[in-house]
Amino acid sequence: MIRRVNSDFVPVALKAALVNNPGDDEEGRLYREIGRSKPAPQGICVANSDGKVIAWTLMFDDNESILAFLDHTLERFGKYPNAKQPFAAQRYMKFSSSKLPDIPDSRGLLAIPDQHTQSCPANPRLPSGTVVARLFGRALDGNGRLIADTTRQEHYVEDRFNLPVETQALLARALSNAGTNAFKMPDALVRQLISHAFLGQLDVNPLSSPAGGKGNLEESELWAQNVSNDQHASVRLRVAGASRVAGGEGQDRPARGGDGRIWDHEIKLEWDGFIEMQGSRITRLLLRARGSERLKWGNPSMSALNDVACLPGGHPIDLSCQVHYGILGEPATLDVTGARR
Amino acid sequence: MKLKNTIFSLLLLWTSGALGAQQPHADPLAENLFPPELVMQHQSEIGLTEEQREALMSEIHNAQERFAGLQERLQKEVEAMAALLRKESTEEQAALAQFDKVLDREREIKRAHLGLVLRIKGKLTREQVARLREIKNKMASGQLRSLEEVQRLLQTKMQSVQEGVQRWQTEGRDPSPIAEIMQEFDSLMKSGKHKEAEAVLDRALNLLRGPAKDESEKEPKKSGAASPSVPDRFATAAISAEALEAEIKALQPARVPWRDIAWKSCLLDGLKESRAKGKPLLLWVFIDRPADDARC
Repeated sequence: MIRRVNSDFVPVALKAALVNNPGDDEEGRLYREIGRSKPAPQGICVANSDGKVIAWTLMFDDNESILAFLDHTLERFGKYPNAKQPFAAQRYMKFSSSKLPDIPDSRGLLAIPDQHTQSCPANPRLPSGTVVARLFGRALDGNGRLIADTTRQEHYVEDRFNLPVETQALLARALSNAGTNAFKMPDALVRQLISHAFLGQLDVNPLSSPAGGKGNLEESELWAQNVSNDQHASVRLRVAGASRVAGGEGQDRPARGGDGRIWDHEIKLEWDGFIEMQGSRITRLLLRARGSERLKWGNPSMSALNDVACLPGGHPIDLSCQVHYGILGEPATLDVTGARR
Repeated sequence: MKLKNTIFSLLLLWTSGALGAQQPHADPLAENLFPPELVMQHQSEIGLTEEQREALMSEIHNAQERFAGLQERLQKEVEAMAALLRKESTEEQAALAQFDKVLDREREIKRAHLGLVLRIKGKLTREQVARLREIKNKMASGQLRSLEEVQRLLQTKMQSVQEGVQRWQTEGRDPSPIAEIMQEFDSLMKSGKHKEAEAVLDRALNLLRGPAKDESEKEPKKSGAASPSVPDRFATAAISAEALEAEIKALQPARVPWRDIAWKSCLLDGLKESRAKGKPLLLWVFIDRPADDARC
């Protein structure tokens, strides 16, 4: 499948917000045309070289249907490679068994601008000084070893988040007040760090699930202490602490979505590491967290189906294990703060 | 209705098992050869008998001695080559002749290595060879740690053990229980039992990370804001920044399947390439992107 996608298609990953809330410029109109026929706010779509949608789908009947979808859309692309000939956008809830009504062609030929009006909306610039942090998380097996599977997000996650200069300044202020004494790190920073350390998809974020649900920061105490020997060099803070977060929906927590989702997630971690600072800016972030995690996700309707046939809900998860996390952070490079188109 | 962007993760999950055979740059020679480290590392999974293990260890031992001699000869030729090149004016024929000698030595080493690998393969049963192929495929798809990952992890853990022992010594604690645990480590490594060796390191690290015996007697460093537990937490967090960075990086697998798709993030770039190459766009439209945001 990967080989087919790379050889036969131009794969583009778009944030749904760009399609769902397009701008009013030429580029925005391209996003709007793509979103015009969308069967849901998210999905997979094949479009031709003028940005006209060939087909959308949200799910697949089974594994073979994925390749069939690629074949089908490639064949339609052969007939409609551009907007010269009008054609309808096909839509599937589930390819190929569950088809929705086609959406007629808008008959409009949209201009494709040579460059962005300002910066690329898909890659917004970061303010100078922003620290970009990358998180890696792994589940451990019963023998305390990293689970080898890295294709499922309940076994291996990567995440990325930004620490704005304002949050860094809070840390600098707390350091300035504490001198060489240990001090409690600012809540805004701690919450940022802790809220990304969880296994599973975005929906099971115990502190801020985009799908709703309730979460609590049950305990969070990260402490830091200046351990620099040379007062003229950059400051190195040693960090240690603990966190416990819990969240979920359904059962004893009310479900807002009404689609029967049930999830329950609890993470207990011990943290340690280093933060290096120059003035009020973080120059390096190195943190690890170890502990345990318990995650349940799903409802009875998910269990009997093929993974690709129940993509809106994902596959059921029942996890209870030890976990390791690591966070590496450093200031954003120039190309993401200014030079990127 | 809620639609998560797990779709492509799931697609990749389904296809990743077949990737070994689909990789455009698959090495047709390497995929049928199994380095001694791979065989030894997975000896329990492939059911290596004690007799086979001893035979393999004997081959490896003999080869190591021969490789040492070959490496020495290669080094001499490389140094001679370097001496020629250092001259203000290097005579072309002489340099090429010396270069041939370097290549000859390299060829000898490669030939000897291939011989070793073939002899090892010859000692394995058909089922064991098939199992090793499966293991290599899983490594290629990121489902199993590669040899390099295992080495890196072991090095990182070993460094953490050494640092922990130093910390204990600094604190006046007796590190002999750690030494006792570590006694098994060398022999396990020499016999290629990396998993068992890692378990030994984990036992040592668990002991090192346990609470200090005299923790309750320690005088906490006074701080206006800190609770009394803070210095204890710092005490158990003694690891160098370098070791910590290596440990965090060791969490990353060598290959993440979803990155095998060459995702673009800019629609205009995608449309331009679509026109230039005559290919349709495949659009992933979800909350976040696999290309950089990573979590879906």
